[in-house]
Amino acid sequence: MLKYIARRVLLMIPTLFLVSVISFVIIQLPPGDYLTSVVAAMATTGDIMTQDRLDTLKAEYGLDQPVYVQYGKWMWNIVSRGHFGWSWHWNRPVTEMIADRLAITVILSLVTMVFTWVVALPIGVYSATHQYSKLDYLFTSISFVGLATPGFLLALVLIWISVAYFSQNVAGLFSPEFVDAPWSMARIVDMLKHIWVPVVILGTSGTAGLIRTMRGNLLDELHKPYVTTARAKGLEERRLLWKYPVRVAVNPFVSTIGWSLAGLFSGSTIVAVVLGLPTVGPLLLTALLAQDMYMAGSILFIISFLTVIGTLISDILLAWVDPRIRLEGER
Amino acid sequence: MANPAPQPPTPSQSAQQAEGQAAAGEEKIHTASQWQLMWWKFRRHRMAIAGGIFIAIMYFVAALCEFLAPYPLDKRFAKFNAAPPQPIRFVDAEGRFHLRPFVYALREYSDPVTWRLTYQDDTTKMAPIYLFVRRDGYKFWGRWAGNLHLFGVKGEQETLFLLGTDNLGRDLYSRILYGARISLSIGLVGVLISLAIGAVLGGISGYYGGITDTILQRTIELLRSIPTIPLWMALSAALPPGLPPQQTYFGITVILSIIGWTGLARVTRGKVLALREEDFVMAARIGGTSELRIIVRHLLPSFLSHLIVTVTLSIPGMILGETSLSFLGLGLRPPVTSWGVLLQDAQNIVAIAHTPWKLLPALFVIATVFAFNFLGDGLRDAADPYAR
Amino acid sequence: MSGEQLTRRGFLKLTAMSAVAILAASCAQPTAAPAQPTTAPAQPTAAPAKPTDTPVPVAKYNEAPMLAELVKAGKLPPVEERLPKEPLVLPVVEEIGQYGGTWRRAHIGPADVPNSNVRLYRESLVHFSADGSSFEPNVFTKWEVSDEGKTFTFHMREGIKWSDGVPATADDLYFAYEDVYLNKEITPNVPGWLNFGGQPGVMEKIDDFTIRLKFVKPYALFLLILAGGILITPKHYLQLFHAKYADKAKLDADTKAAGLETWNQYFGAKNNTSDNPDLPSWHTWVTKSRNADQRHLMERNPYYWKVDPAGNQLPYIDYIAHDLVGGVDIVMTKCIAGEIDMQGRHLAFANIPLLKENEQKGGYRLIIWTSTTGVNWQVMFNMSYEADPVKAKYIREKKFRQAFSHAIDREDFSRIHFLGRAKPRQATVIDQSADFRPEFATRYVDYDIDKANKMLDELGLDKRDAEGYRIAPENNKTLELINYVSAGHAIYAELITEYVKKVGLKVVTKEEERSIHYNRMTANELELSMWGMDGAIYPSWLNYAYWIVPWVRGSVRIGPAIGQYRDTGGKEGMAPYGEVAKALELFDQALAEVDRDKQIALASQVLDIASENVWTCGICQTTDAPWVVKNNFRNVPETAINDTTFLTEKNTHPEQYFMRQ
Repeated sequence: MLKYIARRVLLMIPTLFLVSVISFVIIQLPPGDYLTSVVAAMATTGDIMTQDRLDTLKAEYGLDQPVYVQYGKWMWNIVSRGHFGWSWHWNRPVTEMIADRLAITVILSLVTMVFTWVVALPIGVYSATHQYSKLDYLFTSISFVGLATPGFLLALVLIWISVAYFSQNVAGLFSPEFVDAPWSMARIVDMLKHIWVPVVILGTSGTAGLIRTMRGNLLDELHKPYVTTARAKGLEERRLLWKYPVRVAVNPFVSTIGWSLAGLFSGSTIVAVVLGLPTVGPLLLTALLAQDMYMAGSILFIISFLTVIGTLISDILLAWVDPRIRLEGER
Repeated sequence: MANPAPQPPTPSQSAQQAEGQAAAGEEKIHTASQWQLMWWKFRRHRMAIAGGIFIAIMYFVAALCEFLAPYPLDKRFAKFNAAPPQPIRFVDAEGRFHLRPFVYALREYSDPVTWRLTYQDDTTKMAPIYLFVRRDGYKFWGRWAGNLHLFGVKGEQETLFLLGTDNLGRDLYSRILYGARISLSIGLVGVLISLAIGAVLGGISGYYGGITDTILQRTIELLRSIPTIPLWMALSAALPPGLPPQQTYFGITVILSIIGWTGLARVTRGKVLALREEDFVMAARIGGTSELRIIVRHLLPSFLSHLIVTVTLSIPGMILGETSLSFLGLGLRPPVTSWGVLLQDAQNIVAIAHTPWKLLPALFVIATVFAFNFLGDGLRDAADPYAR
Repeated sequence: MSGEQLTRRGFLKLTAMSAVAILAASCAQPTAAPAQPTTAPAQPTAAPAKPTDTPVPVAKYNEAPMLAELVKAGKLPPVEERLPKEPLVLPVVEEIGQYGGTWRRAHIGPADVPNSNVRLYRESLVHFSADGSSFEPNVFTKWEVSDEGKTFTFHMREGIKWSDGVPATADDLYFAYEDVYLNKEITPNVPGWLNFGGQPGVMEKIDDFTIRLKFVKPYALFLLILAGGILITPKHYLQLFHAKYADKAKLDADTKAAGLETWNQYFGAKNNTSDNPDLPSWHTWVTKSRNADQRHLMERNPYYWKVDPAGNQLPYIDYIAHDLVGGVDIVMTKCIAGEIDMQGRHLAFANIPLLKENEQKGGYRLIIWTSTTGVNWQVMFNMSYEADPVKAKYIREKKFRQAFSHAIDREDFSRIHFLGRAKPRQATVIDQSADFRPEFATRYVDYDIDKANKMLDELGLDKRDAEGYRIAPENNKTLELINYVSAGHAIYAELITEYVKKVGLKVVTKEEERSIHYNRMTANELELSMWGMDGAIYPSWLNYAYWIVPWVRGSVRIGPAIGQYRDTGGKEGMAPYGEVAKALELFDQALAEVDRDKQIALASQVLDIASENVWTCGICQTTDAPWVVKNNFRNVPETAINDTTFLTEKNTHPEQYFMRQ
């Protein structure tokens, strides 16, 4: 196992390098550059940038250099000093921006993930063990509604209902008086008042998917001979259920659970944008649209790093959950 | 060649489980093929049957929308933009009952304080509804001219907006019927492509392991890291502007599904990794079965139920894919009409507050997703070799 | 607002106090502009504060409680020492205000903050009048123009201090001019406004509070440029980051440490009013937190140099807080939830009914100001398009464009997108503009399908294809034009396509992400495109002529290659031709004309040619712009002109807004 992990870690280096090159190139594929997007953005609100100022900025940002030079400088700074470059859009170092939003991103994602699992696993198991019961149909229906409604539309409807009927603005994570307050008990309470909206919206489709998959997989297992055997041997039903079939049924999630690490960063970006959540997702979207390339490149780099690590974690977990799997793959 | 273990249920199992079944029925089960067994099981899943029927109806509607819709796709009533639904009535304002259903005409009202434009029922003008009305002409499937509509009102100035109108004054109900044609076709192609690539490559990766697995898994990591937004932006800029939007979207759907198979491939691989150590695989291998046959014939059915669930889960994503993409000026655009395009009209607070009927296409999406998923459930349960 | 009233008033003001009028008057009278503004700000209707009510100067000054505390603690000198000798006394709109409060607003991204803030705090050297037609003293108390409009002498208000207490003098202006704008590393290309006539103007320091600027050509719009907010740089602070003054080794080290490469990048990061809290300024509020923060906070400038008639140091409001929200819709829901105190930015015409309905719930009043919107939407023909010679031929054909204009159902467009409240209108300046003539607005706006058909037939486009679209005889193919729009604007373009289809013209909409769209524009790839027309008022449209003539390359959709030709002195791009050339020639004359009446006459001629040629085909116009103002938020005029160049809200004096406790 250790040998396997070591080999995988070594393999990460070329993968990451390749990924970083590809993302850097793709970011630059759309025509124009950061300044084009700035001028275009200003034009929509009637603000003006003169050609003079544009030329000035172009030189200032080094946008006149070839791509490989820009990439080389950027990579070198990451490797040598841990500097991810400068975000033009925010006029700040990229590292600082990401660090700023990391805490809230992680909190929000973890809460969402816990919400999803806590809601979905029991329901999925119940639906499978009580197939075609009334509650099974009820849960099924609710999860389908969640699945079929686009998250951002749900967000808009919720925002409007809360404003129109409760005079509450639920967008954002804090009330105005707590936006820049230091962390305190009151601020945490205020955040909890707001956080359920994004958690429910972000969690809805995930929960639905999880319920459906869980139900399906568990049904597969429940009728297998080993369950019958265990039952015949007099194993208590609840214990039997959670110890064997559920463990096997979660296999598909384990295959991709590592990716939820990366999903922390990029998941449900449009919902986050609509709700104005200070997470990394909207940061990436703005950076991509604005062609703020070091910001976009850095977030993508971090996401791929997490994807690669996550895949590794998944593979190790797979073997742990299901001992039949031999990762070395040698026969 | 020996039949692998998890194929049709052994007689003893079936007999145990199929309590109360007639002996003749039992006999049938013993000799039935796998597909017959699945069909029998599927038949018993009522919601699945209902889902299947609903889907069949939706495809029927999509096929005949020119005839079924009261108005052609682009028929505009310039004076009735963003008008609310007109309820079908049998009883008029004076309480009299009419055998023939009718709607009241709409009267415009412009609020002098808020400037809001709304409509009220004009109880002096009734528009009776008839079956098989000949009015606004259309080209059936873009080929054959026609003007017959299943139902409608007769007068040129009379309106029948069952679900209200959109911003331009077009009948939303008619547009939803037309939208079904696109929504129920293009997205599904993407789902199928993703499914095919994901299942096959995931299976290969898990079954062979070793160097094949390593290469495929690294490729997946690479693909997952590709940022799609700039890719879309670049594509949209590179595509010639004259290209019909259907083709553009179709092309982009295909490209997306070529990238989008990775999740399924990971899951399939995980399953296969576990399954390939099973005795029945060993048995097949010893029996000299070819590797491809082992994957397709023995391993694939074992996780077919999971595949079905995954596919049905991805359908809403494909139907609504273009709504998210419209944020970037990508995806489907008018004049092409899909449910996602119709929902674009509802994507702002003013629309939600003042014209909530614009959200109605979402109901059709939800219903379709329901239907597909119940159908999927039925298929899954039927494909489950152990379930009875 | 009554348009007529404004026109009359605007006319009076224009004749009295335009840039050129001051220029002419200054020859006769040395003090054209008085030390205190004698004009009441910003309300063409009832003006409670008459200039005569203004007591000058006040013996005792008052200050905000938060500053009084600092003075008490010895952290700040007393208010009398902070104010200049003659502070600017600002008449009030409604009443003398109360100190305190945080003005809550919303923004939608870091790039939005500077553009939103600048309209609240910026103190330019001279100030636009409320309707933008004239200029009032501000940092400069008076000025003289001589030498036929080539030489400008400006007198600074004595005793203005930067927000860190250091006095502001002519040295700061000289530094801005010589070491920033004329420094090749910071500004590689000399800005056009400075390079007027092809050669940079020369600045001369006369004394500590007087400077003189000389240009090679008469510069009629120079005050307009000054009012736009240039030459504001505290030398004592910024020289620490300037290679000419600072220690080279330290500067290089600091640059590296900040993660930047060259000193001029570092200088640029430091010289950023809304993002560098350490940068001293003379503005109303100074930056307290950075753009990237969830909340962008500005705090009162303790050294602010304006007072109200009762001698209270302005501003009344302590803080301005901009909170980041997800999008324009959330700005509106925040208003309705009562979380916005006063804001118009990101509130659109289409939001008016919903905002109006919820006035009570949100505890605000909806104020409608008048935008300088010539038309809300227009179709622009790229007069320098050349990729496809057949398409180019028709795009450049005057009669074709006129027929196109006749085919547009403007009433319908207005109903769909503007609640039926926008008037059909050709693309030109607003009614209130001095150079406006009614016929500019009415040419070719009648909805007349027959006429359009006839005109198109006469052009040789009389053959139709199977779908009824017109065939170009040149190549025997259907004439198909592409209408490029930025993301989200297809709903407007879709209607145009529908209208012109009725006269057999095939127009395809191409909707693209806005930076891609913009890029296509500068690359001269646009055929037709759509946008709105703001800043359509004399004299500022002369400095913002994007919709009228292709004067420069950037933002010009009606002929970017012609603009490029002008920008590069004929080296690249396409030479102006025909009536475009004629219009540009008159436009250049107008720019150089120092006599106001003659300039207006020339501007009118340009507008005449433009509207006759319909290279910008206007659709309809509504000038109503909504502002949400909390009920306790006072001193906001009920009517005002809203314009980017005039920096609305700044032209209504936010420094005297206050929040009733």
